[in-house]
Amino acid sequence: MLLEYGLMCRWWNRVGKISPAEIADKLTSDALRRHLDEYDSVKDDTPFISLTAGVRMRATGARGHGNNYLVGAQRTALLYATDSFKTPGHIFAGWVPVLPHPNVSLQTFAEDVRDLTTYSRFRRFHRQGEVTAKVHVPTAQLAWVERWELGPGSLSPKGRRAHCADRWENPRFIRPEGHAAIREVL
Amino acid sequence: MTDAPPGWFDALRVDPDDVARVGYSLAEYALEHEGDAAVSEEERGDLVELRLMRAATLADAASLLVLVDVDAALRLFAESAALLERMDAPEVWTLGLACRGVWEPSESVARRGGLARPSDGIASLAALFYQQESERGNPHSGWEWASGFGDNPSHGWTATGVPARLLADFARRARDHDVDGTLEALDRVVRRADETIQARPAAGQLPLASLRSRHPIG
Repeated sequence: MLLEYGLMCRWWNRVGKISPAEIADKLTSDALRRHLDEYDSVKDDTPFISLTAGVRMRATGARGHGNNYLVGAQRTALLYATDSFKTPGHIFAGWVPVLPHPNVSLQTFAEDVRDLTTYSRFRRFHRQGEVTAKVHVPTAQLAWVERWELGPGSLSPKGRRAHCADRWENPRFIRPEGHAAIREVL
Repeated sequence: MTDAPPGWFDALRVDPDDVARVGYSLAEYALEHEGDAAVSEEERGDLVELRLMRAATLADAASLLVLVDVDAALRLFAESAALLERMDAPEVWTLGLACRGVWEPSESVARRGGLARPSDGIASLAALFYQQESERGNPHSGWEWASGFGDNPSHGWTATGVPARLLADFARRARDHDVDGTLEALDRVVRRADETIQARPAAGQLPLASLRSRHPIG
């Protein structure tokens, strides 16, 4: 899948064939809002692909106290990949271009919805550090894929110990260096 | 050991086994993949951020496990608090309170001038905790540092959505051994808190004040 297709949105995966006109109709701010806040109701028809790049969270201390802290991308990706530590899963790493301002209709650019200066509306799931891609992430932008497996927990038999069991590099990967508007994974 | 009433899980539509699995697994992940060894020698400058990240993941794990395995949760809260103490992060007081005395500010910290002051609401609770420790015959714990926080919140808020003045009111009434007033203040705190804290058993739910006969305060 990594080498042949890249990452495709659920909508494309499900219907098999989509047109530019249909894509244009789908890429709206309202559709993005529903993808972010009401995913269950749109999961089969969403043109968006949720990625995570990690996020800095505001400290709990009021009025300037405290340290902002980081929720890492790998932790969030692992929770999703393993369905909350139920099954083995795969984590893809890659890059997407973003703009310094929102523009949902531009398919090429992902929306950096974790950026509070541009996406300022409160989002319950902000700590997922989401960057939302549209329709397709091409193979050339995917660097590698890891398979994570679950073993018995050391703290309790109810917990699972996640470990990276295998990793495949993508020989067709094109590095993002030199391009503008690329933000680092945290 | 299940500490939360079954109705709590019904109210939030979650399975206690799922809570346990995610909680323990997150803790495993933090210890294995967010440890100091996760950064190379060249990235040592990122160590503070990595430790804050680990502290946050451990606290998230503990926040889940406190519903299903209190002992494990308290150990993880304490481990997170110890990390935050090393980073001199004032959130340490919040986690220190959560772990019910398993962690306390170390003497070395007190010698170098103590930890950073927490936000107003947490400062009120930390000062109350120290008073209770003193009344139990433990006046010289690391919590003594919190006795100087005072109790004069103005416009502060906590991360749970509760105004600091409501926590200060709760602390004041508890300090005065006003049992009814304390429980009423706690009800006001819960009513102003976010939805997770407000979740109660769907059927036969009782106001917090009704717990008085089972859990006397004061």
